[in-house]
Amino acid sequence: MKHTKKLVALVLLLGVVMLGATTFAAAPYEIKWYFIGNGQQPDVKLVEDAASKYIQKKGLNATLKMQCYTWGDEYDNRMRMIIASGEKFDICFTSSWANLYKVNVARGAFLDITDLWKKYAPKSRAQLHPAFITGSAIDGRNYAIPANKELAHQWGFWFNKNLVDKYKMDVTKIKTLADAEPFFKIIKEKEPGVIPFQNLHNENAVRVLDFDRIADDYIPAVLYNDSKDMKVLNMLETKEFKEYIELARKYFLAGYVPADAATVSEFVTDIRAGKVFSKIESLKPFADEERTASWGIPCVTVALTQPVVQTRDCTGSMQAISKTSKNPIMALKFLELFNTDKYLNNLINFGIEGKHYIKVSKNVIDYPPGVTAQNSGYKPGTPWMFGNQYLNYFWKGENTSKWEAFKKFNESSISAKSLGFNFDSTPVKNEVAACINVWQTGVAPLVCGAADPKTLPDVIARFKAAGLDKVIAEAQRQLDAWAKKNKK
Amino acid sequence: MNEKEFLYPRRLSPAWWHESRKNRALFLMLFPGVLVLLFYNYLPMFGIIIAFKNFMFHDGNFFTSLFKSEWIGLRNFEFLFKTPDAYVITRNTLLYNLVFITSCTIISLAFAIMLNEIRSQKLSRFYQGSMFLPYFLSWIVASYLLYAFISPDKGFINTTILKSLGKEPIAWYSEPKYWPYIIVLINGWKWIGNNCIIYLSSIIGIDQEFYEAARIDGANRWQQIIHITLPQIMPVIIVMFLIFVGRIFNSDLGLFYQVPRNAGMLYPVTQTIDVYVFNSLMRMGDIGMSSAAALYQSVVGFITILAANYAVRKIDPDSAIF
Repeated sequence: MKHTKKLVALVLLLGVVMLGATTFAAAPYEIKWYFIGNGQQPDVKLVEDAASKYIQKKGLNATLKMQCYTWGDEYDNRMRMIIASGEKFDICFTSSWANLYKVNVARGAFLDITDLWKKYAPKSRAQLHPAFITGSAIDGRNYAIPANKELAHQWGFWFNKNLVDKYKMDVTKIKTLADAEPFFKIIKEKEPGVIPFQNLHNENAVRVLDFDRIADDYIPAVLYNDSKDMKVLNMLETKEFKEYIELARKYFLAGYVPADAATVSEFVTDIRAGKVFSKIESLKPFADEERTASWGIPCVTVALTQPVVQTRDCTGSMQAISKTSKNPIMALKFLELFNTDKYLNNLINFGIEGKHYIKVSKNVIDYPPGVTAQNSGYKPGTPWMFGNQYLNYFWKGENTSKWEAFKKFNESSISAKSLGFNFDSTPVKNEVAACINVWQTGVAPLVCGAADPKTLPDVIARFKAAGLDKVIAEAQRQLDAWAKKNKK
Repeated sequence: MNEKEFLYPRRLSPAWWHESRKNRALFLMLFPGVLVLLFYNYLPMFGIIIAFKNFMFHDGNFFTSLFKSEWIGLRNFEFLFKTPDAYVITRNTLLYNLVFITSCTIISLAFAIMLNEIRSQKLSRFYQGSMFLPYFLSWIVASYLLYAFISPDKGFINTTILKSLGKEPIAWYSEPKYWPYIIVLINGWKWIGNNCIIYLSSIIGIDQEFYEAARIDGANRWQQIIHITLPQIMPVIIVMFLIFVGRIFNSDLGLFYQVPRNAGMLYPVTQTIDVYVFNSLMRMGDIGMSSAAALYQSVVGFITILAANYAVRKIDPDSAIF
């Protein structure tokens, strides 16, 4: 069956080639694009057709084929298979959290677009903050085009506003993790069944220390963001970390943190059910609006750290060109249009006007009568990560000053000293594998408070046995070489 | 040619060609099976070379990438032995499998014999069915069932049993000392029904005349079991044992990763080779290293099968499978 299909396809292909040769009219090139989102949308064909028509009008002899896989493991697993099998495709979403950028570059899955980008997509390059371009470069070479979006990251508290209002808490005065204790205490006493502080092993509060984890999220080789001497440290041996795990343990023993924090990784269900009072979240301007919309629980956010730009922030959302692409220049030209053209960008993010949305004013859209977020035929859920956020429409009710606030947020941020440095783990592959394992067995229980801080020396000893010192030395060597080259 | 020699030809000879002509229909029936075996089990074996290469994607398809990737000898295997946890993961894998083999075989056999002795067909079916059910539940479901019992704050054991006994609740997912028992228990819960049915089906196949003759000679139930049932199903037991032994270096990721909910503090007793490979390589995405780990497990498994079969042949040549 499969072979017959292949044979038929081959014959057809030959036919097409011959036809093409005789008439000299090349068939439009099909740009195949994989990305992450809410999954494949029912009306995707309509959007593809509209986009194809539009890009042909703009002079690209191409059609668009989009395939969206859902958040979480599905996209990762699919891309692993697609890339490993050498399937022909043109563009895929890649980032520091899904379809991992560095891993794919190290395996040679993506095309080096450093020069092609300058030549065929200059506008999408010029509009980016320079940190995006240097930060997403590996050894000075670019393999993906970052989306133009907020750049810095910031950590802070997310509070359930219903509870904050109920007990008239003034959370705005909170400056550190320790300041929040009195509020946890009130919730613990008066609201049985509510988790005062959702400090899970994966969604943890250690992120508030905001170390620059230069090697891997699971390797404690870190720098201070404002490091003077560019010295790579063992995070577990820093004063901050020791203080943090004491506090985390205290909260855990007081019952503020779920008893199974070391094993539960799913956190949204409890939040949506209104059973969580607080947690640590990544913040940006109007993060509270976004969270309220997606979780359905009104919230208050309180920043605990300064906005900072680290290398990892520059790779939060990007589109890469596959090495298997038959026409990378066409793919780049398409991305150029997508990143700079308001119509195309909004078409792919929001669908077709009149069918999936209607315009309320110039930049504000709403659902057409009878259409809701639940039954809309096109809602990939991607606006925040795609192309150029500053071109996007706003949903009715959203704050339209968001883009100005983002720009201010980016400008107010400080850059980590290592911004632009990408660690290459190949020389210490075996040690990295062993250290990642120790992290999961040793550090994960410590950061949520499930393990006694007295076990820390033992965890450190296990890291050393796993070769952490060698990883740190290698990171230091690469960092020094990088700093020298870039005159830091 | 007797039946045994037909099923297990010892050597290929011109007579074999004659044989194939004579039993053309039988060989024709064998053909699709052989084809499947070749396509799915032997052809992919060529991929073994990935374990010795630094796999990188190159232009073109998977095969061109494979050929263009650089040979790196045994470097992909190093991470398995360089880790300080190498001893723990090997010990856990081996010991658990040994315990699984013995406990599962003995208990399944005991249940199979008991089920066979039950005279009521209906009851026997009911017991079989209820023992078989866990086999069809995925490890994810099993892990949540267990969680319902031993969750530290919501679990049945902590909130009901220990409370009514006036005892302190136990933080099950951070106390390694309970887990060797829990793992063995859960593994038995899942597999015993399945193994039991395999043994039961071969017990049912035993010729009833043996038992009649034994009863005439005055053998009681126990003597019948020892002297007829067990020796009759010994070949099945040995085949099951050898299959088990071949996987002695493998472990079920579901059992060791999902069931303990990947709890870090339990790792000294729950981490096996597969869990280690999964945890370390999921993030690194290194195809070569994961292939190396799988190849290592398969090779050791193959050697243990050969050794076990050799031992069986020494003791009882008729029961060895090759």
